[in-house]
Amino acid sequence: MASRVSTEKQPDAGRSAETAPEQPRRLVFNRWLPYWAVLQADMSQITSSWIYRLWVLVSLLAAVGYILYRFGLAHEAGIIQPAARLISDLLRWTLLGSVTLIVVLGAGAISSERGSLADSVLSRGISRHQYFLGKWHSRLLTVLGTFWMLSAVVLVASLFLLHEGVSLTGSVLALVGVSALLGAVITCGVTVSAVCNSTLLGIAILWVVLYGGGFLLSLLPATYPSPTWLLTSLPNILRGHYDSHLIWQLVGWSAGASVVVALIGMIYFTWRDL
Amino acid sequence: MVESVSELVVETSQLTKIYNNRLIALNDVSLKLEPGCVLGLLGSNGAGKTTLLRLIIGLHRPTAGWVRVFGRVMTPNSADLRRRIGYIPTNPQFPRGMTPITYLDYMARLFGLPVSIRKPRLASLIRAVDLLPHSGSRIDGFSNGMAARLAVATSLINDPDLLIWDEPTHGLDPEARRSMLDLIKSLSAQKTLILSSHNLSDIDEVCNHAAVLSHGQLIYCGSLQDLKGRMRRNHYEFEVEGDQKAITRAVASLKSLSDFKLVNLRQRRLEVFLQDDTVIAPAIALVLNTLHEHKIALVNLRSVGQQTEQAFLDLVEKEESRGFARIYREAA
Repeated sequence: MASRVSTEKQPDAGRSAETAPEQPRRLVFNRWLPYWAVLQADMSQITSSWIYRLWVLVSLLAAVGYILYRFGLAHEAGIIQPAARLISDLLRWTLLGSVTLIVVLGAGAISSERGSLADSVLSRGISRHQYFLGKWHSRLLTVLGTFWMLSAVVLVASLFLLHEGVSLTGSVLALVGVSALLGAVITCGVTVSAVCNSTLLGIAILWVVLYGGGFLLSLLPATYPSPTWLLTSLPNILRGHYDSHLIWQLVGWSAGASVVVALIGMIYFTWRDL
Repeated sequence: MVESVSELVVETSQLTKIYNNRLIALNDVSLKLEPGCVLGLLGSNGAGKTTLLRLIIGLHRPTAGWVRVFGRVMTPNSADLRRRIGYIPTNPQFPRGMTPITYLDYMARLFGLPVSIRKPRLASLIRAVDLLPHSGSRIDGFSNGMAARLAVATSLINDPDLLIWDEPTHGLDPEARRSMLDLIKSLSAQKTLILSSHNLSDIDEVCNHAAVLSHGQLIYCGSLQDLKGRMRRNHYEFEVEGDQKAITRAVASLKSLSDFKLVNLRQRRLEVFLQDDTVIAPAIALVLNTLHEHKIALVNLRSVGQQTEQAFLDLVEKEESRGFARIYREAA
C-alpha cells in the first residue's frame, strides 16, 4: 500500500489516487454571523461581570446621592443650584471617576481570553478582523449604552428635582461630546488589549497613554477643542451656550483617532501569534 | 466549493517557527497529508507538536515556509478554510456560565451556520456524546470526561473534512479513553484526522500513519507499519502446553543452538531472545520444529514489547546521536 503521507518537497509528488470520495457540500454560511456571535457573547459576558456591575452600581449610587444632597440643600437651606451645573458635575465625575473601570473593561477585552479560550474561538470559522471588531463594538455599545442610560436618568432627575436651566440640544451635544471621549478611551483599551499578552500590562500601558495624551492635549492653544476644554465648558453647553462647530470638531477628532487606533490594533492583531 | 478529489488535505513546506528570536519550535518541516489519513503526531514534550498543529489551523504564522490546507495557504484570516476543520486544543477551556446548548450554538454561529442547520445538529451531537442529561447544566462543573465529550461535539459541529485533535485522551479515565478511541476509529472511515498524543498505544491503535518530531524537526513521516518495521524485534514469547519433561528437553535443545542469545522457561511461557545477526523467520521456524519434535502444543506466540514505543524511542535516539552529522547528511 502506497503511503498517503510523505515528506517530499515537490508539490505534485506523492499524490496518489487512493483518496476518499468527497461529499458535495451545499451549506450556505452566513459570513457575518461569527461577528454577531462574538458581539452578543461578549456583551452578555460584560454585563454579567462584576466589573461592569460595580461600575453601574457606583455610578448610580454616586449620581443619586449627589442629586439628593443638592435637592436637600435647596430644600432646607434654599440654596438653589442650576441643573446645568449639577449635570456637568455628574458627567465630569462619570468620565473621570469611572474611567478606571472602563480602562479595565477595555484592556481586558482580548488579552483576558488568551490561551485555549481564545483558541476555541479563533480556531473556528471566524477571521481575526471579525473577532477584533466584535470585541471592540461590544465594549463600545455596552459602555456607551450604559453611560447614556445613566445620563438620561440623571438628566430627568435633575430637571424634575432642581431648578431648570438645561436645554435639550445642549444636553444631547454634551452627551455626544463625552461619549466621543469615552469611545476613544475604550478603543485605546481594546487596541492595547490586542497588542499586549497580559491584561495588567495593558492596563499600565493604557494609563500611560491616557495621561500622556491628556498632557499633550492640554498644551494645545485655547482655540483648539480638547477634552479639558469640553469638561470645563459642560455647564455652558448644557445651558445652550455653545459653539457647535467646536464640539463637532472634537467629536470628529475623537472618532477619527478611535478609527485610526482601532485599525492599527486590528492589523497588528491579524498578524500576530496567539 | 469544488475541489479535486486528489487534493491534499494538508501540505507544509519548509515550515519553520521561531518564537521571539529565542526558541526554535519547528524547523524545516515538509509533509503532505492525503484524504483519509489518520496521522499520529508523536514527539516528546517541547518537540513542536502543538506548534505544528497551531500553524496548520492558522493560530500561528510561520516564520518561514508555508502551510496549505485543502490546497490554499492558511493564514490567521482564513475563516473559510477553518470552516472545514474541527479542532480540539489540549485541555480545552470553555467560557463561564454557558451550558452545552448555548456553547455549541455559539460555536456553530462562529462557523456561520444558519439556525436551520445548527439547531438540529447541536441537538443530535449532544445526544451522540451522551450529554443529554447535562445539556442544561453549566459547563463550569463538568468533569474532565464530560468536558472532553463536549470538545468532541464542538469539533464536529461544522461537519468538518479534517479533524485536528491535540491530545484527545489526555486526562481521561480508562472508560472515557476507550470510548474516545472507538469514536476516532469510527470517524477515521469518513474524515482525515491528525492526532497528537503522548500515549503511543493510542496512536498504535487508531492511526495508519505517523509523524515523529524531535526538537522541532520532523524525523519520520510515513506509515505506522513502516515505522514499526524499522525496529528489529528480537524478543519472542511462546505459550506452550505439554509434558513438563518434554518442555524441559526442548528448552535444553534450544539453548544449545547459537541462533539464540537467551532461552528462558517461566512456567508455561518460553522466552526466546534472538542474536542480533540472526534471520528471524528461520529462527522462529527452528523453535516451532523443536516444539513439534517434542510433541509440545503451541498455545500462543507473540513478539514482546511496545513496538511503536520502541520504534519511536529508537528513532529519537538515532536522531540525537547524529549531532552535526545530520547537517552534512542533509546537505548531501
